Amino acid sequence: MTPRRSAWLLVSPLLLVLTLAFFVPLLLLIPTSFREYLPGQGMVPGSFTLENYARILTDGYYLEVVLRTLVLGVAVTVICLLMGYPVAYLIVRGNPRWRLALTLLVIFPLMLNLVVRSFGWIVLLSNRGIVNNLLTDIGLIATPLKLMFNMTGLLIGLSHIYLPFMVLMLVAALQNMPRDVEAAASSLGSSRTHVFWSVTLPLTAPGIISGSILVFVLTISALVTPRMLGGPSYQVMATLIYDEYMQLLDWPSGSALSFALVSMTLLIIWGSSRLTRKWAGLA
Amino acid sequence: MSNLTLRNVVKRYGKTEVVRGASFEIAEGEFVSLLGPSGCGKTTILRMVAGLLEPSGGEILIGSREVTRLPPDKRNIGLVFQSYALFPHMTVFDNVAFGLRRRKEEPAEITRRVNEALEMVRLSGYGSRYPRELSGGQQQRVAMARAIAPRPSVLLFDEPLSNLDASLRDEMQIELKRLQSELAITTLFVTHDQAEALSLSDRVGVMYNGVIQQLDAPEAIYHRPVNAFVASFIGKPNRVSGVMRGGSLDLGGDLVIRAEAGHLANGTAAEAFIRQEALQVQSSPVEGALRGTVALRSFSGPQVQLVVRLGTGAELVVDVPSSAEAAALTPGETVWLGLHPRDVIVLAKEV
Amino acid sequence: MTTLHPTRSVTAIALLVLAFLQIPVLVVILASFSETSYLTIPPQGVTLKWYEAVLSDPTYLRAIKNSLILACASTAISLVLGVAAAYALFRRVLPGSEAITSLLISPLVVPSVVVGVAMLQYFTLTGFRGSFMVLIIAHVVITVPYILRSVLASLSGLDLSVEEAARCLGANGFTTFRLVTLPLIKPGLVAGALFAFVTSMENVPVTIFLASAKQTTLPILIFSSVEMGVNPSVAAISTLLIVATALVLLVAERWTGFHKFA
Repeated sequence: MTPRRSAWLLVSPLLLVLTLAFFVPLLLLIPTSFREYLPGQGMVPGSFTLENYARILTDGYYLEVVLRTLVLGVAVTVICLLMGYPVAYLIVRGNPRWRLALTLLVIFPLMLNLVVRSFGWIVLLSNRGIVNNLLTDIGLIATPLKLMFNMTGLLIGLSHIYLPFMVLMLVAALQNMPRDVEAAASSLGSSRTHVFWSVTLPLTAPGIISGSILVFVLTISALVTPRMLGGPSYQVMATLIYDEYMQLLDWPSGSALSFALVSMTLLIIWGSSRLTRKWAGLA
Repeated sequence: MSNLTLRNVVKRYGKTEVVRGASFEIAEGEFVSLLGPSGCGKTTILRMVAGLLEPSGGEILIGSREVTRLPPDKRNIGLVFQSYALFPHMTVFDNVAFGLRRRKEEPAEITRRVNEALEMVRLSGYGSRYPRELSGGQQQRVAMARAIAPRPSVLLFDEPLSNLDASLRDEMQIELKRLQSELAITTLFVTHDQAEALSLSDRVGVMYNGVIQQLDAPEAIYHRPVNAFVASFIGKPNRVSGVMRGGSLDLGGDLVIRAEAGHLANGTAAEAFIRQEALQVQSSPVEGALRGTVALRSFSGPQVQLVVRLGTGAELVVDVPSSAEAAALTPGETVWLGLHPRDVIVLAKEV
Repeated sequence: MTTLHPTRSVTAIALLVLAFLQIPVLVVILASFSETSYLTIPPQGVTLKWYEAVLSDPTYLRAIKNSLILACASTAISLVLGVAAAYALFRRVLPGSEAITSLLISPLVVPSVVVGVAMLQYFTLTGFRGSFMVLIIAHVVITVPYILRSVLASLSGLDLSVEEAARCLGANGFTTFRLVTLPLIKPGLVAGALFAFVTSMENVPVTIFLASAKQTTLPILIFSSVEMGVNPSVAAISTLLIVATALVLLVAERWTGFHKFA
């Protein structure tokens, strides 16, 4: 058997499974997104309409959900970056004896069931949760703060969930950075702060970008945490898709929203890979 | 043990021919090297013999068995890699036993032959170590033990010494020569190091551009190269061109290099290749010597290298022992270069 | 000077962030032992009644069983399919190997909720929805990219001449894979399998669209019971998951130096 034939033989089972259980289902979602939907009757077979897509851009409610999702994505990314950089720096540049323990402290939450982590935040943030109890007990507040079912809850929960990804990306970037460059900069008379802003930060830019892309994409696609901490009323795109399929049974609208979400993620990934390639070309 | 035969073996990648019809035979127990610059096709030939590459044409025989399209595991060969390619997750013992186990030998026989092989490469007692615990030279020995333990019909070496530092390389060369003569296994050795090839081999094949230019005993390769590539690749001979006149080479300007090249017709454009050690430097005129001036002198310890410019503008490099009288010559002085016609290689100029 | 060590303030901030990462975990563990249904600081009373409640509840037990079967089956299938594909793709003998690789990894890029609704429609239309096999295949789709990625990463660090050496010593293609390649890529394999297992164990967005009531998995159960309000039995089962995760992580770290693959 030629190497090429045996290679096909090895790849084709997986290719077949993914075609039948992933690519075809995804493609079959396209026609659905152009169907008309009549409440109570369901999808109108053979119909064609752009209404489902138009609604996302014109309907005030949909627009709000899309915007909220994007704002959430940007905010969570920024928070993760600000919180993640010191951790990554400590892991890479701190005492090597602590490196493994610190790394495991980052990986452990990552490996832990998402539902469990979100549940932990409910215990903390709900009206009768630990935070509100504590603040009431020490007399700081009289009525409980609203920490869930709003932006605050989602920001805290999602930042916590995706922070480990950011840290791991930054650790990789800091490790791959040529060491002597920093030493060279400080030997040329740069202060610590100046070395960081002028050398360390720009040289870890690829890691910052890929970490940010990852966190952003994961945040705007998240379903579990937004639903658990946001409830059925504070919607993001993923939870809206979920409701349109499971509660409203409006598949056409749900699939249009799905493609909107997919195109947003693909656009981000495609754009960023172009950007990094351009930067790599400059270097 | 058996002989190895290649008949018109060709390897093509698209339109480029990397090996253009290699035909040769290695006798039973013979040690043959393929020597050439990188990209000349020598490793390609070795990999085709091993079965790691499929030839585009021709046939390969081990003994009387045609193996051209057999996979490597069906060929009974031993290959020593440039990177050693030891199995990092196995002990030295398991590395060496690997081939024997594939041949379904008895456990007692395996132990005996592994120990025997390790003894041959002087690594007895290292069986329980892991490759990463060994030095480069020791890893190299394990690689050899692993290749010889199953008693292959043909032993192949792919630049096995090029990853070692110079002093270790000399030591391993001697080791290799000893091993090969003890075992008398038919051997194909690929290298770009001419000293290695010349000192180890029964015969050396000089390769260039996918073609074996000359396959001959080391002395013949050195003293009687068949073409300009072989002549200039082996050693770093002085190279001067001129026109044939009565078996000697006329450089013009009354300079004639006496040679024994009667087979070349008068008037043929030709080149002489003169090894540095064949020239004798004299500070007074000698019959038949070439007159020139010292242009450069450089001292390197045991030797002094002189660059002598002839009247025609051609320059010859001469090595003189530091203790010799000629070593004291300084640039600008006139010298006479004597040489024996026997030491001059004259080849018709290639068009 | 060679390196710039983190200053004290950077270290302090980093440690605070690391603490922030562990807070929900600690809170869940505390809540699982609390007498009251709402956790207070300090906790009032210590009890194991929530564990009792969970471990005697057939709904929970069935969900645990479903989750384990699903995760084991899909990880095993993903391993076989993923390792085979990675082994072939890594050689780059196929035209467009890189394109095929990104195609096979693409389920990672598409938001899970979209994968879920696409499968919901497809398996409803084809009439297979409700079959446990469909659930397994769905989990293979979402877990296989992890295995593919980590095995490809391991293979790229492999010295190909090691395989060639094995072939020359008389091992056929499969024996070479079994005795040489497989042991050498084991760390990546274990890491990939672990990621796949964890991904399957925690998946909600795909499972929730495909699983029937009987096929409910543990994360789905927790996810939907939370809608009814905070319940300490959820904390108990969560604590069990936390302990299991920590153990698995430590074993994997000991065994393969797992953190290098994260």
